[in-house]
Amino acid sequence: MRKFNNINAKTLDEAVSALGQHESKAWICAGGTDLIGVMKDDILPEYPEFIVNLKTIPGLEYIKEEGAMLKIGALTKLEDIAIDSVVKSKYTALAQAAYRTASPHLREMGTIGGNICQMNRCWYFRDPRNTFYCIRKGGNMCFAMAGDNRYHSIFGAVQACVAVNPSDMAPALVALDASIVTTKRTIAADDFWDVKIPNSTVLDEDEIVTEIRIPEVSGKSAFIKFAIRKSIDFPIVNCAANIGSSNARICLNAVYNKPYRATKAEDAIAGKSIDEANAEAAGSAAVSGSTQLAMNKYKIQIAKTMVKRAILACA
Amino acid sequence: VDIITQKADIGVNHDTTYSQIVADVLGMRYEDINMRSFNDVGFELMTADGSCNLCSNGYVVRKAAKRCKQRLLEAATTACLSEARSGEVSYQEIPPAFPGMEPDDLDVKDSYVFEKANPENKKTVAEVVKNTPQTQSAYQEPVYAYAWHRQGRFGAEIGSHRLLRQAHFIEVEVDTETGEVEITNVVNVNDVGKVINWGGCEGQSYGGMYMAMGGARSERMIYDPMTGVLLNGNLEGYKWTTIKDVGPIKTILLETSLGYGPYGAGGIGENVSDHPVTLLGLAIHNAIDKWIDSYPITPDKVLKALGKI
Repeated sequence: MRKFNNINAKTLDEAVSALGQHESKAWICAGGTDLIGVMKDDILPEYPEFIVNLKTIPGLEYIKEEGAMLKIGALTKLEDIAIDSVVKSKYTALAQAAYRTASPHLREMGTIGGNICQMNRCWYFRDPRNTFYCIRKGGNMCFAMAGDNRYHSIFGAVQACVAVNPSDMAPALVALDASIVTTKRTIAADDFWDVKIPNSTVLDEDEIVTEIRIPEVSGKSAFIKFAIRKSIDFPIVNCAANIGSSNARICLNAVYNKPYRATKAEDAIAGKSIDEANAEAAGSAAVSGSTQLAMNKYKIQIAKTMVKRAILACA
Repeated sequence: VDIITQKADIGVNHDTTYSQIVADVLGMRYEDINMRSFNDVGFELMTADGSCNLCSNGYVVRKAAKRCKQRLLEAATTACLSEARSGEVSYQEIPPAFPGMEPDDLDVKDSYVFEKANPENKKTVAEVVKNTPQTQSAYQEPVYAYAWHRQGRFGAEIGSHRLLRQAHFIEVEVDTETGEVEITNVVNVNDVGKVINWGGCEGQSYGGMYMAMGGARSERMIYDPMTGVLLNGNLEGYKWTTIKDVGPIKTILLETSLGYGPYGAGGIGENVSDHPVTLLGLAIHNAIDKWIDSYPITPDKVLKALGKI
């Protein structure tokens, strides 16, 4: 790692001000589980001159219910979310997603805010020392298109990039109709990742996530993840489902540039009984319109199965 | 007692197992044996790891220890001369620890040299060797012995083989919708002849099998087809098996004493991690009646074999 200046922000205003002052030269550090790796591996053309540490800002780590809303501070650790009894019983998909994220060690350090803001894990993008100067970094091609794309998008490219969003928390938040509160505004989860490359989220350079809000869940929710290993791994496909008596919200992730609302699956299951046949039909509907790359056709079959099983888990 | 040899501890109980053999042969307490690393000058001793090295090299360790014991008992029964200086040089005979006896009259146990006919007549090994070199005023030849052997093409000495008898079993469940293969049960049976150290030997068996399952199921170095750049050169991208990815592994160690190594040891070798890899393809065939012989057997290969993609 190269030298940088560390700013231990005492307040959100101080953090925002530092980001605004130094613009792209200042990067945020919450748990640091992704940031430190990015810096050590030197994957990007730029390197920060300032790191703005958010852990020194008090009052951003909490899980509470207020009114008919679950509120989680942005710096809340994933492990705390995974084991919280209220989250487990009433917002089940979120607890399950937190539990399946990474490994115990990483969950003790990683925050929900950081998790939803993380960059993609495309191995061309992430190769150390910026080996592949791809379209997300200012280059003019996507190396995965003609390369090894076994983990990449099954719903096409965004500006020629086929990398996927790797978050486990993101689809759970979308399925639970969450809102993300920042220092500037409140953004619906549906819109938080709706962005053109190279950004991962719609956040401005000097905008910080402060809180996640989830309305009380009326039906049942579930999260299911498919990966090669049962710990550590980012998802190959994951899926969160929130099934009410007459409506459904189903979100896939790791299948597209951003979390993928499976609206066709929602239409197929909403108001219907949760059984094998209906869930199977919803799974098939979810992947209609999918488009494979050279090496990832299997992901379509897995995505179909993940939707089906997430729905069945809500029975 | 110091074992002077090359040392390469790679986590396979190298120090422990060779010290156990020396302690057993010499009659010393295990705690009184040390491995002294001597890496710059010869005295190669293979690590007590796979390739049955403990079996083939334990043989020479035992030989050296046997010779050393004889030297010890000779030191216990042989007088030595001290040099006294007061004006003129004169010599004084120092009696041995067990005067008037022969080496065959003695034995060693728990770091005591004792008279066989009268075990209460005993002295610590330290007492017996107190005149051997520790300072400039040593009077007695060091109690030292060495041994060597040619490891030979097949193991200990010419014509002596490293002998392995192993049987491996696995059970799997195949998820026909996702192609995921769950390894639900593993049993390893190893006839090692003689177990020198249970912890190390079980660990070798368990650990080797665990590594085999990783090699069978998920581990592969993946290169970009266009540039040849390694894409997963880290422990997130390279799918090293976690403890959650393999079911219970039962290890059964048999001691038939049918090996050529010390105590009838035959070795445990490398097969614990080599052969079981192929078991996965066999077990999957039993499950889904399809052959997959491209490793690692990842979900996409299973789905393709099933005709789902």
